[in-house]
Amino acid sequence: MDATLVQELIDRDWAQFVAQSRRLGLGAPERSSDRIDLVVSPTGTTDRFRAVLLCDGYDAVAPALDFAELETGVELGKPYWPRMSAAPYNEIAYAGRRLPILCTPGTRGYHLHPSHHAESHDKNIWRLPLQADLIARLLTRMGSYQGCGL
Amino acid sequence: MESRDQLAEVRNEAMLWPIEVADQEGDTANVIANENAPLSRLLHEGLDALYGPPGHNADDFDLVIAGVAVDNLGESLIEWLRHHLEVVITPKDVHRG
Repeated sequence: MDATLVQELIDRDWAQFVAQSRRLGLGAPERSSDRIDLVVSPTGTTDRFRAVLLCDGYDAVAPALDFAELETGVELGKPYWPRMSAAPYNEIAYAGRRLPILCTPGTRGYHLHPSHHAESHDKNIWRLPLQADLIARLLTRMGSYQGCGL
Repeated sequence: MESRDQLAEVRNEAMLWPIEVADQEGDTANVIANENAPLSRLLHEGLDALYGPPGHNADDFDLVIAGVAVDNLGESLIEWLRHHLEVVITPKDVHRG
């Protein structure tokens, strides 16, 4: 991982990501180094969630999508994910914990999952605007909202 | 003061709106859309503007306005775009592992 390159690549994609988030009704993202937070709500509820894109290694690996405790953003993981009825949830062992994943190309979890480890994909499939599309898709088009926590 | 006929003429004249369309990757193009046209036309014209004609199959794409994938593409533009002059055209389905 090249930390300088990671920041340059996030810089490159940032404006397009912010615009795409706005168009998709996700609101304004906040960035802190290689972490991006978005407070969002699934269709059909006023419940709010903090989506987090962990972009460490953005030069070489896809962002990891996770959800965090809403107020502090510190705790991450399954209790903080929105449960959508038709979302392709799965999980992998990653960085010493069980990381919930959406099993679709462009997410870090998908590419690290043993079933897909050998697949080859263009890096463009994980660029930030596509992450906005994925988050919006999860919240609005992957079935009905079932509650908080996986 | 405008005459009644003049007012009627103004009211019958469809408004044209500049709409920014974005694809899934966030790349954009611009189309001019008639507010009385169905949203299906905006979807077709947006696909042509983004990818060039002959376009993709519109049935494979959602038209997303302010975060909502429009269910009824027969609705007219004016019902949706008064405050949202940008839309996203994105594939209906994604690959699932």
